[in-house]
Amino acid sequence: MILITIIAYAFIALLDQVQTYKDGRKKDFLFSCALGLLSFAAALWVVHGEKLPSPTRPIEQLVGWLFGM
Amino acid sequence: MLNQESLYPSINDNIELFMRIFPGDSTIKFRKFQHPLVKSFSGCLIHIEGMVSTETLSNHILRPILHFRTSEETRDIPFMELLMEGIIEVSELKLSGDLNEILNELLNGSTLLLLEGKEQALLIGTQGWQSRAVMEPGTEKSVIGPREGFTESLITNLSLIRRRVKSPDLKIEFMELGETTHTAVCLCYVESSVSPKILQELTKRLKRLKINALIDSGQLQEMIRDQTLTPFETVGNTERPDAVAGKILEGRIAVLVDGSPFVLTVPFLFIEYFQVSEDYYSNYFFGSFNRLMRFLGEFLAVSVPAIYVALVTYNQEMMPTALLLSIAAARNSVPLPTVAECFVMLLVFEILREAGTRIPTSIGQAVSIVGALVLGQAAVDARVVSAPMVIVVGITGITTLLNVKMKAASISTRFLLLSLSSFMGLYGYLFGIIGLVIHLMGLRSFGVPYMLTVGSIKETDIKDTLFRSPWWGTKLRTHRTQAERRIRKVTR
Amino acid sequence: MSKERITAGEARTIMILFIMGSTMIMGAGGQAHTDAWLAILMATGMSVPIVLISARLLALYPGQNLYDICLQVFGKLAGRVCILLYVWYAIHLAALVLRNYGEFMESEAMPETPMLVPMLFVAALCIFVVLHGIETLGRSARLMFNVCMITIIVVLSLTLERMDFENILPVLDYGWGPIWKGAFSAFSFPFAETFLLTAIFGGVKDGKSYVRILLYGLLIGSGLVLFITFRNLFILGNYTMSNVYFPSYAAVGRVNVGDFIQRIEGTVAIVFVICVFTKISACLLAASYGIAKLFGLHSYRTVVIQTGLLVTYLAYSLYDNIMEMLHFASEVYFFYAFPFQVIIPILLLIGAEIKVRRGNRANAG
Repeated sequence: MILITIIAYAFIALLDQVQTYKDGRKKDFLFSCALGLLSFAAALWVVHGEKLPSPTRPIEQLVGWLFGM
Repeated sequence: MLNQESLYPSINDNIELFMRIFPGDSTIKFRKFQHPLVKSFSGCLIHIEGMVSTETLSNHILRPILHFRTSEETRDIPFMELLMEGIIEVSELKLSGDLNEILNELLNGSTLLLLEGKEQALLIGTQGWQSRAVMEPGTEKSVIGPREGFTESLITNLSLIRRRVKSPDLKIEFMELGETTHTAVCLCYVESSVSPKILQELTKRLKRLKINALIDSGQLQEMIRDQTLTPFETVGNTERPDAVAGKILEGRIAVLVDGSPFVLTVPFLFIEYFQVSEDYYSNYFFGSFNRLMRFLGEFLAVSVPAIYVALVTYNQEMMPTALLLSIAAARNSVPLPTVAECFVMLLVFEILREAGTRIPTSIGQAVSIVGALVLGQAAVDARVVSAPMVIVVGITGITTLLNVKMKAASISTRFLLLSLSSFMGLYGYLFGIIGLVIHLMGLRSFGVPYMLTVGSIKETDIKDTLFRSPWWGTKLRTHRTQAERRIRKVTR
Repeated sequence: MSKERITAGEARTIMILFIMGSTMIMGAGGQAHTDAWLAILMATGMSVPIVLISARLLALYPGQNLYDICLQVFGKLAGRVCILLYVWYAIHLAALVLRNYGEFMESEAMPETPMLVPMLFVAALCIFVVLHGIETLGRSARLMFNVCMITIIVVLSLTLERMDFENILPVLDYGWGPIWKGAFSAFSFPFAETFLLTAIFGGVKDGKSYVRILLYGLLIGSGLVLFITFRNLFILGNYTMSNVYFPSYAAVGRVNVGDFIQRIEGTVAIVFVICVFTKISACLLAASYGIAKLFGLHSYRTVVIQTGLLVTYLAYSLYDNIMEMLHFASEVYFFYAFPFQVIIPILLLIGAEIKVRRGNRANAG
């Protein structure tokens, strides 16, 4: 599974990042790389079986604290 | 390649020059002539055998030259001028000293007339080669409607179009493509209907092409299309003059290529796959019915294998029980899983289809018997494939033939949907359809959205897409048709 | 990016499909049981002001979307915070809807496939269409909406015989309390969410007024939701409807015509996928626009793929089980979404009106 993820991300990087780099948009390229790395890390984490930190609990607590319900 | 740009003044030198350019070529004929009375009037006619009309050459060039008698008035006029103005009885004449041009014309079927002492040659248009007669088009047959189809000669094709659109608004633009082949290409459009932006874009793309050889319009079709990765054509082609005439009148541009009986039309929209000229010549009920059938047929051609595989493998609950049981019984001892079976059968069908087009007629009969009866029946009897699968592939094959032009697109889409549905059942099929819709909606043909008027149910749009509304339903007398107005609006 | 404009009709269709979203399968105003229809009507009424605010904002700043308006009204710093909030809201909403779909697939349609797989497919489709641009989204929405309608009508004609119109009684059996709860719930999901659409309806051709587009969109969308709610109610009755996670699926599953046409729940899935797809695409588009504006990127297209993937992972991680999802949707969501759907829009409107008035006076005087 991890192998598939790596291959998939390599493929996406080829299409997405390389194209952006070729277009000469440096800022877009850097940002896209950063975001891509973030999503790659998330992908590996998910594939490993762990879930990302869910915002549901914090939101419930925030709402409870604000509206006292 | 050629060291010199012009001819020699002496005829013998020129003859040697041509023999050097075409060594060993015995189709280049040299006919030296000498006027019987006037000694200084001598020259040579050069032509290529097979490319010229010998009747014109003998009776309208050689004879008037040899029978010419000088008189008082004509004594002082130089021979070349005399020939051009008063002797040669052919309508196309040109004087040239440029060797490249001379060679081009010679290769195009003109006769060269060289005069002793002159460095210029007279190019006489004597084209006359064998070409196919105007016959019924091979790919687009019709029951009602004209039976004329384009041939390989550009001039003939142009005349077929001109005969249908006899208006000074019809404009023709010539150009030449292909460094080695010097193929003549011409654009044909009606000035008042065409969208100037599309015309500009098309001319730009054609002029930008730097190719060595242009043999068929099919090559051009791919070279001028928008750069998209899609099996759907964005440049149309047709073999029928009446279809081209109709499209030109709607504001499209026709591109004719010398040597190809297929004329390209630009822009090409998705809906044109389903519009056949015959719809307009027959009764509107029948025309609408046929068109709806074509839509349905295309849907079936693309979906049937995918839906069958999905229903049998994943979503069995959706089929009526009795049908499910009989399919299960038929599939009882088939070794392959349904998906593999489907892929294999479709592949076999494609092989048969491709082989069928290339078969020499003498073997054709035998192969169809072998293919259909023996292989099909034997395969089912041997339980290698199941009977329902043969039915599915049969339906697919026949419905593909309803829309022959879409073959390439149909096959790719079919395999894609089949793969998706083998992966996730009907949901996979649904995803594939949505993906297909998105892809189609995003295509453009020369700036015009590909799916213009498809998918909406506004009355004005349906009139010529799903149905073929009767002539009294469309405004006949307006100068601009609906389609042309829309294309112009979109590309303004 | 400036060339991408959609027609009024396409905008309206996107809005309708957006409203239908995951409501088609989850049901709206479920807390009110038999009186859910009443709750939906009230919720529609409550959403009209929000929709009018959206229309007014778009009309005050023609050609600009929500993010441009935020920057103009709140200034550079607060405006950027505002954009960030809405980007988060768009991403979260997309993840929520995607999760709805994933739960559906796992419970009913394909229990043996890990939830991530169908979610990835839908996300891939959404990424695909957003990459093509809003024009393609509009045109696809047009076609798919017609398909949706045809499916609904066909299914309706098949289910007609199973309907028991008595099921709507007794009215107000549970009193007004649950109805208000249902109304607030329906208000926040999905009606007032349409405020997010101001982020993508920046440039609409045809010059028709935004009020007409958005209002019609709201009314037609809510009409359809109402219609489906009625259909489910008539077929299932009160008890089943309250106890089933996916009322539409259960309702259509009852169809049995002559033992031949049966178990056609798959057709509901067609409508569901189309609506969910449109909603997620709209949210993804809004989020991408926001991120591009926030970081000054040249085009929103660079971030679409990664954002879409992140939304998928988020959707996968949002809840532990379906009950948590229902609890969040019915108890917490209203309060969480309130600032995004009501407070900030009102603030924006007030700020915008003041600025524009001041600007006009400056020009005139």
